[in-house]
Amino acid sequence: MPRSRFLTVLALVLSLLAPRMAAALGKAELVDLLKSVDERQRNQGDWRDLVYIEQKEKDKVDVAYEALVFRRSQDQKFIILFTKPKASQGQGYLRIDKNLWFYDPSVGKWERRTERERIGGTNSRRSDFDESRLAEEYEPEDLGQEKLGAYTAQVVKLTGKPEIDLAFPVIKLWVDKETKNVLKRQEFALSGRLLRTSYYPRWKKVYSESKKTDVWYPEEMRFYDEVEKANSTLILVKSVDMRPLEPNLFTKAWLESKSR
Amino acid sequence: MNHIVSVSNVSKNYNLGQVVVPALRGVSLDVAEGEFLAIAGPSGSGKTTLLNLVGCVDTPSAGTVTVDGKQTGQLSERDLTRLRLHTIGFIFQSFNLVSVLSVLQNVELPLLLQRALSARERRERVLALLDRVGIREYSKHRPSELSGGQRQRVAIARALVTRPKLVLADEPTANLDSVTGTNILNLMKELNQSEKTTFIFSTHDARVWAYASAVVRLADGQVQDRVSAEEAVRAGGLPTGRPV
Amino acid sequence: MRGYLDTLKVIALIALRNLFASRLKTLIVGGIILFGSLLVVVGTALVDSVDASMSRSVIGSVAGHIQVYSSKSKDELTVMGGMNMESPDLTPIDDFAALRRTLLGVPNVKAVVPMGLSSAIVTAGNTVDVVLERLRDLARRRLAGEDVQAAYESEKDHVRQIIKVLSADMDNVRKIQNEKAISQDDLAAAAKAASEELWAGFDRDPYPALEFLENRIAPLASDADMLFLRYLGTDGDAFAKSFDRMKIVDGTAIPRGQRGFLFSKWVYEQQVKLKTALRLDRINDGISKRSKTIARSEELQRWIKQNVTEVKEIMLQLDGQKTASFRRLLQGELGSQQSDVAKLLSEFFRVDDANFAHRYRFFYDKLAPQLELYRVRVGDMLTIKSFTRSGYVQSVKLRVYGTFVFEGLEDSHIAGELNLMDMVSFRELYGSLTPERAREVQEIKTMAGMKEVSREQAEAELFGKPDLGETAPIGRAGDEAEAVLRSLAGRQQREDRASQPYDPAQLEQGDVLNAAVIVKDPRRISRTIKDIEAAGAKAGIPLRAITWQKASGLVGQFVTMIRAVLYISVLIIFAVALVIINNALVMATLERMPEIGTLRAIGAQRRFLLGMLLVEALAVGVLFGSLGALLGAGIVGVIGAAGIPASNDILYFLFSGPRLHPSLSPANVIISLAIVLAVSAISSIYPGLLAMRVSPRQAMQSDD
Repeated sequence: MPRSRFLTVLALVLSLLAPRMAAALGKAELVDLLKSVDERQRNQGDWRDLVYIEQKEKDKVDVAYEALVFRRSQDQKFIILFTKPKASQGQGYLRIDKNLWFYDPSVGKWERRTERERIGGTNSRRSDFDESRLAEEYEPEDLGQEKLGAYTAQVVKLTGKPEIDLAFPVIKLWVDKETKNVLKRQEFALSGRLLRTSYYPRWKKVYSESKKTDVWYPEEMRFYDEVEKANSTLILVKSVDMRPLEPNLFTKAWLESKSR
Repeated sequence: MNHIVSVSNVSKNYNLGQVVVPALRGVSLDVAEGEFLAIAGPSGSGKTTLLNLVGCVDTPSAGTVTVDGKQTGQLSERDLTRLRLHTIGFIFQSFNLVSVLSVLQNVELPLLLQRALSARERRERVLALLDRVGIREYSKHRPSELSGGQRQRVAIARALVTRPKLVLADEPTANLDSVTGTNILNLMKELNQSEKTTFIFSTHDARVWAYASAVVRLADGQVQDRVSAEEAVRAGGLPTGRPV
Repeated sequence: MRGYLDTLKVIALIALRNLFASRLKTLIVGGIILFGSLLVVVGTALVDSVDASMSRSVIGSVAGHIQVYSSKSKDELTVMGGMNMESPDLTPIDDFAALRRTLLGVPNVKAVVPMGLSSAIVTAGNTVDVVLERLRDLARRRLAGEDVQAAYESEKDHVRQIIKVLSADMDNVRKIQNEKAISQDDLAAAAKAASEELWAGFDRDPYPALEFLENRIAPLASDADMLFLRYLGTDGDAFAKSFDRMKIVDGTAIPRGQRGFLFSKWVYEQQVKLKTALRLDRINDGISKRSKTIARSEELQRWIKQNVTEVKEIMLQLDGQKTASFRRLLQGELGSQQSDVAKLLSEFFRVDDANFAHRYRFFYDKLAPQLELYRVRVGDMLTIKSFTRSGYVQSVKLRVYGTFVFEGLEDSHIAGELNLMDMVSFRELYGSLTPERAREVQEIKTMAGMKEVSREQAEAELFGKPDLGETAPIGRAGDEAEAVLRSLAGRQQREDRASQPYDPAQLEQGDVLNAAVIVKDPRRISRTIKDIEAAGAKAGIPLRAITWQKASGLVGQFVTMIRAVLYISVLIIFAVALVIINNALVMATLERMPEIGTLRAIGAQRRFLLGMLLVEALAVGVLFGSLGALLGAGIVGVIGAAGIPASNDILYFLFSGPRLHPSLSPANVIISLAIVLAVSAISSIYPGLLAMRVSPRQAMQSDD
């Protein structure tokens, strides 16, 4: 009977597809995955580190910065303060609530910026230096698994939640199945245009007193510009320190005081 | 006796595509100064070709044509043109006047091309000639305002205005009624006598022969004979086959 | 040769009679020629006039006659009309003094003006940011013991008024849309901002309250604006002297030896002025200059609608006192009992053709004096941030000394887009890469241990073998941070540097990107360009010198473009004419074969016939060509007297003013006649050859 044969074939096809479908993650599992990605990196306290940023651009001399990053988990405050080179010394960004401020001590002026601000003119954003808050900011969608060199990665598509100012509205994320470390990201514009490909090849852990367990952070981040193909950015994180910071650190007054 | 024209063993072939059509075959003819020579023959006998060769508007395929002592085969196009301008006058079957010019201007044209005379001299000579051919009163008219005979008179005046040694007339009466034709022939004969100008004209009109000093009869591109006008008239225009 | 003239007469006679005989053909051919020569005369006269007026515009504004820059530069220099945001990449010339010396050594050079061209985006922040920034500054000065109490109180009052406006606005949105349109957080923030406890302790310790207002209240205003500024760094004195069309409108020129900024009046109006006022100006322009009416122009209606709906920009400027004053003024003007000033303003801006003129005057006479019409006022400090050539962010703070225009080009966008800045500040913003900076970058890279990984190799190299994740050593960023912060402390704030003069000699000694050269004799520009480049090579300064046309980029090429279009149309018309004249003559020749044969037979040389056809063609050409030129001259005369109005901004610049009065030069007519004659002559070549080939045998009609 043709009809029953059709059903047999259908069943066969479905059974072939079954392993894939069985592996597909449900919404809740994906959110859990994001939460665990965030959780591994979360510190639940104060944090500071020293970062080096390098920007390579076509036909231009390299730009390099040394900067201090300060952040506080509980109210999501953030500062990046440039310390080198001399000409940029004392310039910085301050994030309070949903505001991102840029400060230039040479003119004593605060400027309101957006999350799309290229930090110091490089292809890095504020969120690259800050705590991971993917579960809070994005809706995940399963894209299956993929091999990435020696790793097996779970690939997730992230779409930004409405009304949140985000540097990138759409992200494709490769998470190591074993460790839940992020290995690779591709960041897209709302139009679907690929803007940046990022790699996180080296993860380090430090023991946090406030969290009572290890905190993981990417020691190296490489961003390849997908619009200006010749451009790339490198961030190196050094010397993480989790001792409590001054309570009034995340204020305009404090940053101003550092260049007075 | 001086020969103004001397044609010696001349052949002329026309190439019509692949076919070579012989128009003249071994023609020899001498014309003395002051002659009033008729060239007779039926259509296609080679009259016009012979006239063209003598009139320097064409050169022979073989043999020589000598006009006023110059062998035309050896002259350049410019020299041939010059020879025509200074030595030869032309009278055409259909008059060939420049329609946009007045009678006076038409007659003056060869003098202008010669560039030898002043305006006054030219005017005097043209008017005298127009007087002579009897159409002075029409000097300001356009050819289109004249009758056929009057037009041919203009043409005759144009042919004679440079005082050429030789006047060639191609069927000068063919387009005229018989009375007018006779008048024209009388005029030409008169001029031939008074100016001592040599006239050669082609014609197949037997009446014309009477005026000629001699008639050369052509047939199939060859000279049949050369007879006196009386003989020709007596023979009724038919070539007799007698050798020249 | 006495006969020549007579021959010519006959030739002419025959030719003309022939033309007359075929009148219709002659008229068609002549018509085309007439139109062609008319087009050439009118077209070249117009283009020449545009060229002349545009050159006045370009030379008189920034370009000068010649622009000079380093021949090592990667890009070509364009000083205006660049449609893209990026300024050309030029290699600086290190020593302006040496450059000036070299250039002044060239015979035809009269003056040299140093220049540098760049652009920056200035984020002005929203209205609330601006007010809070002022309040923060006043609070700081008050606490430091300065006597600013009155201004401080007024600004505080203004902020509280702003909070009221924003709260009312939020209520409005909730009413119009729905309860959830505004988040609970924002409502709570607004309530807190309006509360007495926030303000009770403000005088004692204003900073926490300020931070709260800046971070929670200011974002609610969301009218942040950006100024896109193209600026020219130069020596203000030399500039004003060489470009005498420049006139100061507001304020003063930048005093010698002072850092400062001059707004182009055009930019100042278009970008800095209060949007509502700008729209009123535009409506006024539309009505008075372009004879539009509100009733019929959708554009004007759109501006009115924007003014009616966007009153918040004005509302945020009003403190309590001004709010009361506005209420009183508007109630009187509108005869209304409405107490809500926002509604009164909306009502006031809902203008029609009958009341516009009156309300426009009322706005400027009564309301504007209480408003900040311009976000940046003359005398204010303007902070300009830019990315330097070495890739870093550099800011300078400059006093705005005033605004300027180029006379006759007041309304031109192209002439008006450039603002002026002193050269010393420009150099700072431009920040060429010095060896020290390059060394510093290298040090940072070495310290960090940076290693390059190519894009192609990235995945293989980075994920080749699994990284098990090591424990990082105990961080000492805190200590490092302390050390770094200590080094920052005591770093002198350069805030007041803007008011410190610089040594005018600094102007001379530093680098420049390009320089404008004014010459004595503009007709010898191309010669002078060669001389300049030669002098540069000799002095060891490799220079490239370009004409103002080239330097003005697309604008300069505009005329070339129009000229090309004109010439192409002329070419097409005359190509058509050529074909038609040629055909007509060929037909005439074929018709006249027996006549030509006759002429040949009776002794006319070939060149006689050629001459005949040539005269025939030339006669038509000269007759109708002259007629066309005459008519063209008449048209140019009429247009010249009336003038062509510059209906848009680009034309305004090209016309170097509101109207173009084209004038006729002999060259226009000569070119036209020359073209006509050439075309006539060329078109008689083929029929001439044809006629020459006609055998005199053609005259003989007998068979054979």
